[in-house]
Amino acid sequence: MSDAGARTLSEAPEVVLGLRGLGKDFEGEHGLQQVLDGLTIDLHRGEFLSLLGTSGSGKTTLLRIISGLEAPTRGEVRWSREPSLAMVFQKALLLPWRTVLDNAVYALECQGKTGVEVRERAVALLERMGLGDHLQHHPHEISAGMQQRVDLARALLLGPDVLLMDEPFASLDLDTAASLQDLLLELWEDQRFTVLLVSHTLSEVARLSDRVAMLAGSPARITRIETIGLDRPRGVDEEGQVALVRRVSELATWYDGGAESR
Amino acid sequence: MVLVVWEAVVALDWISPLFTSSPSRILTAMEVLAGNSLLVNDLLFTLRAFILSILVACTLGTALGVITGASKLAYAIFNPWIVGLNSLPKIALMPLVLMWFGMGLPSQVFLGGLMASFPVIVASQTGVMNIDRALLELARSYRASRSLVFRTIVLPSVLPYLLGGLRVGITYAMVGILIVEFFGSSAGIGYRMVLYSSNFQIDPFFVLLLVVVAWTLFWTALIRRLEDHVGRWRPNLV
Repeated sequence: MSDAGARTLSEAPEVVLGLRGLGKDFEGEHGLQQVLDGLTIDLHRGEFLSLLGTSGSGKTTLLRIISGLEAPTRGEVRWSREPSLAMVFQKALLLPWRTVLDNAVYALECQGKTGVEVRERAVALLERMGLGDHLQHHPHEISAGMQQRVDLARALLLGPDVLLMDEPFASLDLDTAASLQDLLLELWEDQRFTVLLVSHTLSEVARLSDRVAMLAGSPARITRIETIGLDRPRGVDEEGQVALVRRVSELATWYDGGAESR
Repeated sequence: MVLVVWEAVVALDWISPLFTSSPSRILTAMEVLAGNSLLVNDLLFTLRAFILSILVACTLGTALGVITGASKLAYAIFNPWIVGLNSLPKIALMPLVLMWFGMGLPSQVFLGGLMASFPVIVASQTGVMNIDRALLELARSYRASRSLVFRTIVLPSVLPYLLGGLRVGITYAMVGILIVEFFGSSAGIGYRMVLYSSNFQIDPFFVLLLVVVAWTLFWTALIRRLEDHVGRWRPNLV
């Protein structure tokens, strides 16, 4: 498998999404409060970029601005072409009255795509994700990890150029999170969509990302952008484990520094 | 057990047979009334008013409930009127209703529909207010059309509330219809009940009472079935 980090840096990378001087203010109790300010970063096609920041650093606000659910106060979000994006949330957001299969096809249905072919593709993906036996179950009948996989399936079935993920592993136990991360990486290597992951877990970010952007301060800015630069798959043998742990501790040093400067 | 005691109390002459019936006498009266075409006409008369009242409650009640649940402005404008009208004892409207609509069906449907509408309004209002905003936002982020959002999120969220309101509403509709039939009608179960009671025909009166109860129970059970069907995805609480 290729080193994705090296790939995106060696060729002139195509920019899918550019954030330019992005800022967001909210009307708070003590007047106008700046949450984000001067955020500038490019997202390259096919890369896995993580946004690292403590809770309350405005990460979710940023994702909502990128996805068009909220308008920025300053700056702009530039897409290379009409964005095809999908979002996965911290807690799986499924329609409780729909089965696993009907939830998975929901995003496509919203865009007017229905039919046998769509359902067959959904079944194939859900089976690959280990949900083959649960197609007709309702969300409350399956575990949180499975729900999160359905959420991911729904997003991926759209065939998005960009996948936005808002702490998708935060509400899962470690084993479930790890297996979902493996699955995500497998599908990412396969389909080569671009990922923007929001997270506050260093090990997760080091294991998954090509690049990491640190969000810190008040109002939050991008204080540092780091390339992970480890071969994939990461941490599979002893040597890999050591390299991964070393990278995590390096990230921790500047992460703590960044957090203290808040 | 209750029936046995009731039968015994009447048989032992503890209470006047003039003012109350007994299970055996009701059964006999039932047999007599079953062959009576007049009763069938009365039943159909009341049934027609009932169905129309429910239709009014479903359309008017749902529309008002959804509008006031979805829009703060509509809520501010309409809700004081809804609450005010609801707190009014509807029987006080009776002279006005007769003046406006005359005797018969229009008055029945007006009062029955009005009374059944309130629980439907409140229920659908609550249903709309309780729609999971995150799901709406999800659909919006996937650029779903308004009709799809309505079909896939609004309707499944509101329907259980609406049916619950309707289940209460049907008994109110029956009350409204009977009030009109008591005071301003020349047909229908209510009219027949007044006639029987003024002639001290207590046994057929009780038969009609049972018919009303059975009728309401039937509709309650029917809506309950619908509710179960709509909410079949829910976790079993029992």
